[in-house]
Amino acid sequence: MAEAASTEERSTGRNRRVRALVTYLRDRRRLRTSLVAGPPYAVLVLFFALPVLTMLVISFRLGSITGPFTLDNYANFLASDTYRTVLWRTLLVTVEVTAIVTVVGYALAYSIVRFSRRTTLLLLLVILPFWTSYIIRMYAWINILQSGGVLDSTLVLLRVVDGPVGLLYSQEAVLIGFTYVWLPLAVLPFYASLSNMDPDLIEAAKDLGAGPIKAFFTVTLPTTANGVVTGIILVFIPTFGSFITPRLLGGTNSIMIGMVIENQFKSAFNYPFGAAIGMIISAVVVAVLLFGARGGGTLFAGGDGP
Amino acid sequence: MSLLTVSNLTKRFGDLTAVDGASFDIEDGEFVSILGPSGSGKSTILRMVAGFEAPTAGSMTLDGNSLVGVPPFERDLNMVFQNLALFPHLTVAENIGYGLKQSGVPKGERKDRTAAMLEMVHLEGYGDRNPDELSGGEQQRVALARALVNEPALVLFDEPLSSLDRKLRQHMQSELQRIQAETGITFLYVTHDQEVALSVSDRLIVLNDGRIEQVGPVEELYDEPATAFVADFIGDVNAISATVVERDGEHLTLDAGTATNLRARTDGRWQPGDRIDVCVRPHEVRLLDAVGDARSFATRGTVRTRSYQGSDIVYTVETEWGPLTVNARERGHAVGDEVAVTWDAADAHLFPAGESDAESESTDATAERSASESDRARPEGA
Amino acid sequence: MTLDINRRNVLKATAGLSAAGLTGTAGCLGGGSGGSSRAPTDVTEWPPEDLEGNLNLWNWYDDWAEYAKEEFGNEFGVTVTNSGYSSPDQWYAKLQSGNSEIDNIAATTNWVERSIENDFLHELPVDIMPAWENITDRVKDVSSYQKDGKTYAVPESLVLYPLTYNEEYFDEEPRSWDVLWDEAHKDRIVMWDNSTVSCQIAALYTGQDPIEPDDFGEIEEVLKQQKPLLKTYWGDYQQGMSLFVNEEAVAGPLTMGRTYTARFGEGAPVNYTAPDEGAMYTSDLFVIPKGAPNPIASLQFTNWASEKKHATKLFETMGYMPAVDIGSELSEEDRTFTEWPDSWNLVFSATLSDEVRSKYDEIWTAVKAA
Repeated sequence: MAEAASTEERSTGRNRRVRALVTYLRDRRRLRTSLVAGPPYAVLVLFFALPVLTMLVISFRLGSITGPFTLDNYANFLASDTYRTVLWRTLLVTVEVTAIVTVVGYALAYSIVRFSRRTTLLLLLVILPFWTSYIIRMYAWINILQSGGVLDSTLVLLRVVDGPVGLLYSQEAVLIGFTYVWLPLAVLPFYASLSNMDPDLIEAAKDLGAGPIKAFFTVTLPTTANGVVTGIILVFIPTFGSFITPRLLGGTNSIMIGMVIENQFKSAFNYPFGAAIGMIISAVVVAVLLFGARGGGTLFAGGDGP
Repeated sequence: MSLLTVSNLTKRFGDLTAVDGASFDIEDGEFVSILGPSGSGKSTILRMVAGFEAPTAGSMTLDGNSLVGVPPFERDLNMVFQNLALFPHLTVAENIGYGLKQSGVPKGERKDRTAAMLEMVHLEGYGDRNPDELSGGEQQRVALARALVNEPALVLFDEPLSSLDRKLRQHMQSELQRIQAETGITFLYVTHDQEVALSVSDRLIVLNDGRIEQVGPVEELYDEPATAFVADFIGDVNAISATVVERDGEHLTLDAGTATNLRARTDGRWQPGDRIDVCVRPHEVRLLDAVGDARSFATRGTVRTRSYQGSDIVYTVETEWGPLTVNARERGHAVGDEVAVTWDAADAHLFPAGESDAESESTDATAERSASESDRARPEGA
Repeated sequence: MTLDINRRNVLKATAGLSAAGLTGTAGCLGGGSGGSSRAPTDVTEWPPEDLEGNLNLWNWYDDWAEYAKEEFGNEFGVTVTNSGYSSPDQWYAKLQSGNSEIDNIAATTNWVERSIENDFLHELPVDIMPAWENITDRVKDVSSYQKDGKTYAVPESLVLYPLTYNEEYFDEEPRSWDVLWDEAHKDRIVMWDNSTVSCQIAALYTGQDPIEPDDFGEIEEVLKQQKPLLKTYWGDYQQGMSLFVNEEAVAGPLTMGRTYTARFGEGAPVNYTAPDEGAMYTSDLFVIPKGAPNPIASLQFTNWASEKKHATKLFETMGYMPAVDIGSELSEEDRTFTEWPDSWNLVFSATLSDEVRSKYDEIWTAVKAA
């Protein structure tokens, strides 16, 4: 009897503690929220904020990651024509690539949404290249584009050209490589926004007197602006930091800022300088995207009112 | 000359014939509804008139000019879409002004006409809002204003009111009538909802399974349905299967397989042995205290349900001929009461037996039927 | 007992804490403190006993490593794995963050020096290792893998940065780097997208000391002059080799190993030479990083790899000059390929000073951006 009583007592004791905890949590909204929101924030802080902060600190060191504090890394970068040239060229290439990918990707997503029945299969085909490593895909392009490669032999066979063109090792090759690699990244958000779009909107536009092209620019494009902006961001950012594609497919004039950063870590061993360039291009990318978002915002806002 | 002339319009999607040789005219300034169950092809007709579908065969003319091959953006008509299709990235004013902008109306005039439209649909001051900030009824008004602003010859409606609750729908119906009267623009309205169709239209086109069953003024269709389908679809009806036993001039005696025979008066060419459906409207059925009060025929029944519908009471009476729906003024009967039912022999509409059943044999037709049934189930339907 | 907390004690404690913190940080950055309790220098008699059951290699001679995994594994009953890395910074980063995984690395001299400087490597008892005798004096003398009388590595191979050329295109072996500045070969020559290699070639071409050049301006200038003549800067070994195999390039820097593969594996008419101005070379060495979980097996492996039979295999699979004298083991054509005439002016690629290295990097970036 005594034993049973004590067990019961224990269990009610436990219940009371559980109940007390529940009450405690119920009365403390903030604590409850932080229990739920805490882990994701912790991950963000641990794997994003802290590393970026570390990079920021390193970027103010001189020579090595334990060197004295200095502003030299930033000063050197900004004072040098070379680095500014590379940065400018990287920006141009990135804008070109983003523009090409956006146009091609939008056309692709549009035709999948509007004219295709085997949507899933086509989307699968779009994503398929992602299952192959980036480097291998680049090597495939080397084989296609090189002098006497697949492209050349096809063109010669079709009598489009007389001899090999050898597109490899040129800026065009870099653009082709980038377009191929980032196309799926753009097609998916484009597809998502286009398939969410009510097709009646296009009919409404036509019904109200807009021809197909006008309907596209006044209705289809603006109503899918969110997807377009997402796709552009997804393409712009990785292109800006790329170093593999320009190195493998590019010629002597294909240097990009990512290659300069890579060199600081792999051969020049100037980590602080690499970190400083990294911080600078992060700032540039954010600035370009903010500026672009504002510009794009007005671009996509549609009509200027009646 | 009619404003819109549609003749022999046919649309096939593969093996499916969605519209089968439809012909009708619409006069300038009319308010005409195409009424039919879902899947009956009414939206397809509308989409062909609007230019979103190309007809497989047949012709359409608007104001004497053929519409076949003319792209939607060159047709002098506008449409109010079922889901309204308001442009989400434009303000209310921009939505309304969109059509004017496309036709190159200068900005100043655009502004004035948009403002006038906002006023007509009672949305003054809403111009700068986004469509998603508006209630369902307000969105309807914007869609209407957008379709009217170009002053087209014809405005098409693809069941735009179906998403509204009843009260709002009734209000919008009267608004539609008011605006149509104000503008004088011809309206072609597609719906499966007979209440809407009956209340707003000058004329009805009843569509079933891709074919036009009957075209005419609302009262004509109600009083003189050409087919069992129309009788069934427009208003409620009690249908009893029976066989002609005897014919005496206009008078028929009909055997419903029950103890009491039915009587009907008709100029139809029915012969003894014909199997027919006897259809009688609920408000034409009369309740009597005793069978003997009937002039011609009557039977006994038990009140099973009783529901109050404003001025009328709707009873369901279980009889040997099956359950009958009765709309009556008499309030004195309670559930379980014994009553006698009858109707004037001239009020029964007679149709060849199984006509409406035969229609419902395909699965599509069944779906349509159930849709129409659910409409009929609404008490206000009669 | 009451605790007498005064200001000084608190200060002391704080100092102790921050010292611990610093040590902790250093521990993070510095060599591994974990791993086996045994060290290679604990072995005093050959053969070492009680080998661990596993061995984790980081060897970038992939094909040879496959062979070694099988052969060494069977001979000593050790399970061998290999991570074929592509860039030394991959393993170096692991040593920096505290190694607990890698037993044996095939490392380039410059990176070995960096690792020795940072105390990332185990000392090796080379005097008792039988295969130590096999290492040629030429390699033993030039490689800098010793510090304060201690040896931290065993040379694996000699790595030459020669001029590779197409034998059919050139009637005779080019004797000068100036073929890479010759208009006649426009669009048929390449350079290596590597700041050190390219700047050192330019230094040799302009008659300067490639380790301590005195006229950086001239190096930058000639590299800029050269740029319009080039097909491309190759950035990846495989890519560099296929340029020669496809005969898109007829002259340019390539490694000896890739030249060997192109010549004997792909049948391309290529050969290599050290031009009269000189050619750089370095060595790859076996090292055992601190923190290695299987140091004794790693030591045995280091000795095993320097036996003639296995060193020969290294040459035959990869085409790099082994650090072991294997002349007697080779076929006639292989022996001809490995012969480095005494007349060649070979310059050991000593570790560059920070200043030269960053200057080379700047020059190379400027050249590519020009």
